[in-house]
Amino acid sequence: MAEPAGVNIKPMLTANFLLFACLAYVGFLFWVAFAVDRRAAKGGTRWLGSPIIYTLSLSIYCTSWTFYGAVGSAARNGLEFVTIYLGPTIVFIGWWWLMRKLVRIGRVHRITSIADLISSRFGKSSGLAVIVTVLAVVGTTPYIALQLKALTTSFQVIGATDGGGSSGNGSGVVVAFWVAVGLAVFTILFGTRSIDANERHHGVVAAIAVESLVKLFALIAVGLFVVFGIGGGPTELFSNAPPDMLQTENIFSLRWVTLTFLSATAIICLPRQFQVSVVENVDERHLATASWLFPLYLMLISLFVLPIAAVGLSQLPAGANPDMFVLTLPMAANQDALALLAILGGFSSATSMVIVACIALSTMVSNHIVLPIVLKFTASQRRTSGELKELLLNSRRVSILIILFLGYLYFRLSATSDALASIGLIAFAGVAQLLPSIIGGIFWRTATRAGAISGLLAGFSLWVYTLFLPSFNGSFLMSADMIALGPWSIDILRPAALFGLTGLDPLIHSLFWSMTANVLLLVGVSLATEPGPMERLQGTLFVNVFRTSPGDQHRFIHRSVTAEDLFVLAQSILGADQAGRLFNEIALSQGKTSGLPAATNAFITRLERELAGSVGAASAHAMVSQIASGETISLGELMKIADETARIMEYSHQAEQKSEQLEVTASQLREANARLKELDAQKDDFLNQVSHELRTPMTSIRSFSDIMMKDEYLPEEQATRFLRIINKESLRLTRLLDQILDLNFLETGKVEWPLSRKDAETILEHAIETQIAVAEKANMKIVRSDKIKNAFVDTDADRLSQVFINLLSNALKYNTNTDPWVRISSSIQDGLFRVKFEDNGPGVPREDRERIFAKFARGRTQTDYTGAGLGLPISRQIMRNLGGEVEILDHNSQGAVFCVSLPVSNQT
Amino acid sequence: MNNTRDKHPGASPHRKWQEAALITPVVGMFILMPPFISIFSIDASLFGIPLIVLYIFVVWALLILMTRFLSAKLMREYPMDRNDAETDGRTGRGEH
Repeated sequence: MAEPAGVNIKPMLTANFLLFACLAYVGFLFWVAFAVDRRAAKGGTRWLGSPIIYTLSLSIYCTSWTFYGAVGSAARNGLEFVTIYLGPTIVFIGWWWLMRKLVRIGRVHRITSIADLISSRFGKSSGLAVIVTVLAVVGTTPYIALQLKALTTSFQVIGATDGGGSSGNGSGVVVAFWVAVGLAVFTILFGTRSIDANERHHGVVAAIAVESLVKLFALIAVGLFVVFGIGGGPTELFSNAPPDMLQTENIFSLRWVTLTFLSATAIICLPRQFQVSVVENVDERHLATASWLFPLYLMLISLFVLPIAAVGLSQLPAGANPDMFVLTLPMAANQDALALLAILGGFSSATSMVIVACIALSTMVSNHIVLPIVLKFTASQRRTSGELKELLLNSRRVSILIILFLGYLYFRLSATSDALASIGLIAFAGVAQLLPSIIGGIFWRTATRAGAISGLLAGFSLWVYTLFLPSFNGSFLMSADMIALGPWSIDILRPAALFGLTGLDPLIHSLFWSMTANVLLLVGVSLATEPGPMERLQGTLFVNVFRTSPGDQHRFIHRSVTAEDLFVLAQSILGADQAGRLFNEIALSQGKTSGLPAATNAFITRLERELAGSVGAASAHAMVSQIASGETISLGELMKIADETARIMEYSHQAEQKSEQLEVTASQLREANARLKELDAQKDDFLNQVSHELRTPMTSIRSFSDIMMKDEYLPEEQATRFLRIINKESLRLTRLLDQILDLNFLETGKVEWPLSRKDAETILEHAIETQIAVAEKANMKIVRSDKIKNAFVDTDADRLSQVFINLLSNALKYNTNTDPWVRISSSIQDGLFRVKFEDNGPGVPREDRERIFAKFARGRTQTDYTGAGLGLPISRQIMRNLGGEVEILDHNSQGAVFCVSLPVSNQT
Repeated sequence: MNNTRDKHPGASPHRKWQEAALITPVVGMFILMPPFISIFSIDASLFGIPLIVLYIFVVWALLILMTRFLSAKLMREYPMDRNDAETDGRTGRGEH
């Protein structure tokens, strides 16, 4: 938009031209809105459903307070302006916790406004809706005044340089009035153009998305120009800035925290924010994108605020209004095109805020104030088709006029307060009163209507008394004396120091009292009162919104009404066409091809929800209740749903535990399976080995007996030798089989030997004696260390002896050294009797040290196959059965060291 | 790890990411509020920009990146909006 104007504007940035540019811009926005609505009607809204559009529409948070006021705030209070954007950033990066739930509730319950949300949660209460509506209107009024003020001031800045322009120098009031009128016309045309009285406005959303881009673009353009065009780059810019500009010593205080909290609250509670983030949301998943894209938008828009403020302070004359630096800096540098862009950016910020705020507020006023009054006076009349719809649209148009007029009035009355930021904060503190009811409502099932009403009223009154009324500086309701001294000069009631609380910033003071009262009353009264059935139902549905299906609601409410009455009601609100379509659709889903659908509970509930999407939950409920009779809310069903929720949580918890257990079991099974496979392989090995071992003696027995049978003339001497071999081999076979049986017997672990207290040294002595002859034959020395005394163990003497003999004979048999010896030493250590057999033989390689205890495994270097390879496994089994162990020790010298250990007897 | 759970299309997002999404704003609040933020409120500058300004914007950017990462993780398994198909006749005309 700015480009064609920028080319030839140079000599004439006059008020007239400005008027023309703004009107052209508005025309363009209309065209956008119109085109989008046409596309939407045709069904081509795919790009509209983009998360980018959603995020850009959220950016109505940045109003002209941001566009002009942030720089002013930075010039006055340094970094403090950042808090206004940090709060929303924190809320959006925590979207999963809060915003997602709000959006889901909004979609499931067809919430039309923030008043609708609160009233719907607390039992579809019309009283509560009225309170919230009034609060929202009063709280938004300063905000609208702020936009009027920013626009007026910016036009005046242009008008002042224009010299005798048509906008009327010095009479800001006149300018503001016409700006207000212009905005009202603009909003009515925009927001209530739609004859479809539902609460989504595709065209408006698209137009404000465009405006969001324009204001971001404008502010960044001005920022880049200021930093690199006239500021001389960031380094020079900050070194030229006034030294105390950032005010870092004292801004990180309670005020920093309070402002962040307030802005976080505002992004949730401001009626216009609620409108774009919840009501206009077309897809819950858009929130995921907005969760980081919206904070990014805020960061980008804050990026150049400090530089612009710094350059403005150092380069513009001392009296210049810091709120207008964004505009006056380009003007001072004679950059008219950029100044025009800045004006359009500010215009965009203001108009988008006013449009959406007015749409949101007028919806609340028409749904929650006008409609209930009309319903009350026309309760008995039959209504004609679309009658209420027309009424709603008209009441919205009137509301917009009234709201803008109130804003104008506030602007006139508070004309003496000159900073934009302080007005904005007053509005924030006002709508912050909604926060306890919202948070309590969607996370705390016990919160009741009485609690919400008392909290809201108390918080709202305290805000009005301590902040809103004093902001007029004595020109409205409260006199200047009363503000300074308190009513009737009662010191304790002074609005700026209530109950003697002094020394606080007025904003913090007001927020402290109003929020304290609000929260305490909400919690206290909720705990003290019992919720009605409808409150209980809505509370459960809201708090558990992620766990209940919206189609379930009809289970709880029972009522009877004729289908004809429902049709008349639907027609009067939705219009004949839409009502007809809806009823046909429902009839079809009930299996009826003609006529009206049966008025089942499911149907009545669904219709009520459809109507709620147009007129709010409270009004829709009231209207259906007017024609329905015998409404009962089934508390039993309600309890069931609460139970169900608990049960589902319990189930999922159990399921989780079970799956963990299953995982553990599965891994155990896998381990067991691996071990079984290993054992199976060992068993195969074993069988192979056994057959091999048995085969060797069998072969020689068979061959020698063959020879003897065939050769009758075998010499006597040779026959005797053969017989001896056969006999020896059969003995070896028997021994082998005995050993195998022995081992299997031992391995099953079922053997029970009678244990008795024996002196282990004596048993060892006997074992050595049996081997002395063999040793002498092999020319081997047996070295015996000193005997120890009292080496009593509980054992089976024969078995233990068998182990000793086995180890000793192994040492003798496998020692290939030319000067062989074996050293036997015994000791008692840590309650264990230990015997070591050391030899100077070839030793056992480290990798074989466990293997040699396996069946049929001999040392690898071993070439003599006289043993069956069962000695060590049997010894180990015996020792284990006796409660001891035989193992091979690590050592440095040549040869092997076997060690037998057995617990010392503890009998005396 | 936990591949088995990730493979279920309709399952709710992994608890770990949900918890991270709840912790992020708390961490953000902590590092942007006094007393913590006062640590950086010293008279120093980096590349000609006051340290505190740099700190705030860098933290801000990091929080945005973190949220972007987490929301992508959470959305990967986010169930479709079942309420739309069922009850939302009004918007059902073209968007879904």
